Amino acid sequence: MSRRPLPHAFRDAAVMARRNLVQIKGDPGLLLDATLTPVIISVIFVAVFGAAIAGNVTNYAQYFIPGIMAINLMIISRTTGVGMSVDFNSGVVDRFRSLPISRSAVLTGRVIADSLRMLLSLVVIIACSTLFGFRLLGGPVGTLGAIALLMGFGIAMSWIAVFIGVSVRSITTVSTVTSLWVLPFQFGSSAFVPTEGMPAWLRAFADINPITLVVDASRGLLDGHASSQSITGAIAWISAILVVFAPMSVGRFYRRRA
Amino acid sequence: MSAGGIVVEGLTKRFGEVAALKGVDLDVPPGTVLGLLGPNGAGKTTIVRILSTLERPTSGRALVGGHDVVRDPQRVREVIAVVGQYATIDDGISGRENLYMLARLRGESPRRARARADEMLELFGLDASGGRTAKGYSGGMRRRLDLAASLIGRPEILYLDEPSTGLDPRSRKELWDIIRTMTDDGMTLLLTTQHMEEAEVLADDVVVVDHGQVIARGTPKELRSRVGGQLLYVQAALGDLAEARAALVAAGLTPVAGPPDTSGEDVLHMALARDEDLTSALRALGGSDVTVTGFGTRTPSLDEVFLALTREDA
Repeated sequence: MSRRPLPHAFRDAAVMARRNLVQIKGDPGLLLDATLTPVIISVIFVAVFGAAIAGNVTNYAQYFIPGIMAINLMIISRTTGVGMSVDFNSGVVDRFRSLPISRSAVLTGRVIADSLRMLLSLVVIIACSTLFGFRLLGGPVGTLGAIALLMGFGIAMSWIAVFIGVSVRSITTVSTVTSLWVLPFQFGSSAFVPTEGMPAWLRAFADINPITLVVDASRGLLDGHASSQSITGAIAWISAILVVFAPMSVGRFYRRRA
Repeated sequence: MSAGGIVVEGLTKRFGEVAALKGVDLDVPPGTVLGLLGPNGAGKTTIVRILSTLERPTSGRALVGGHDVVRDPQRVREVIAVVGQYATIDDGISGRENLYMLARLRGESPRRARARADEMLELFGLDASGGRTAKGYSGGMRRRLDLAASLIGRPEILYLDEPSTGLDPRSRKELWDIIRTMTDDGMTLLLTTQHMEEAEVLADDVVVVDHGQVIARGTPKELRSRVGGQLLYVQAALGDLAEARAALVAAGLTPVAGPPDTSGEDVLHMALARDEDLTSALRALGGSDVTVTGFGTRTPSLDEVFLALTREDA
């Protein structure tokens, strides 16, 4: 099989990413999950549960904001999967698959476009969390490190969603599956509360849960006391997910019957 | 460029228990138009999907522009374009963005791609609506955008899978005109259709498929002669029809099925196989008590040929 030279792969992915970004122009609602959703979740959890969980709102904000970052990235990743499914069901995928483009371009392009929405959501969360008294104790380096790590995590989540999007037939089911599988991982993690208070069996799960590792590492970076153990663990999870799901998704993309 | 065109040998495709193609051979020399004719479920779309690298054959071989569809799909994709039964455009972006994107993916620079997109919009009468989101386009506009999207890469070989599906007669006529311009420019075309008329207007050669097999091939003219050249039709008072039929059969003529779309209750159709058949028919009817209310000869439509061929097969 002839392979496209690498520059073509970049160009093809960039063209596809542009396509997904231009779609926002026609449907600005696509930005809601990067802007409004994290604000609503933050307000609900921090204002409602903050005092009960952590004594006061500011304490909980300092704990929970890294968690909401990770969780909101997972919420955004759903649209990566749903968007894939919409493409399949509209037939436009058949056109893409019959073009002489890099095999990964359609998927990579979508992931790139969605990662930009993810970046926007992180900026929105950081901006609005200061209202609750959240402080970036880790300084610029820690903050940028946390953003980089979270973006890696978000991209990994997007590839899982892409895999679901190219594997499951109906758009509705893709939407359900992408929102369901994340729930046990989101709540069985250190995102909302520390794992120490959980029953032993749940704690065993929560402590190796990729979300715990990513949230702990980001929390450490944002607060200025990052442990290399959680950072290494988070990077290992992110790499593992990418290595498994990206090639599997590309394979499915070309094998699936429309 | 060496061996162009399309060559298909012994192509089969199974979907689980279902044999969609049972050994199909095709040859489309460069610059010609092949009409692939058949009813729903005959396997036309499966052939197009295999030739578009969207589906792998179970066995057999297909060369497109000299490239093997299984071994070298990317090379095949470089020379083809596909227009499916349904428009495959991105609804979420404008017509211009659709074309720009495809021109870029075909390797044009951003500037060239923009110029090419405008050129195609104008050619297909979409320049006024090029900036609007494709979601709002009418059926005819979507079809034209789809065709523009396929042609923007200047493909050597084009597949048109039932291109006139869902088009009103005027849009169909426009589409045919566009297709003819393209074939005049030397493009190789594989056209699938359920309509003989379409194949007749556009195709140099016609292959009839049914149940995953080729049941006839030839020029539209050759296929027509398969049903025996001219047809005689006789209209008579209802009560006289059986007698008329008997008289004509006695005179050596063979009854054939009429066109599927006429009610045909008071019309007989007979094949005129030999030169003397018409005279014999006149004599036979003249010597009978039949009240003839209509009488004439005509060339069978390809729909009738098609019907006769698929019936032979069944």
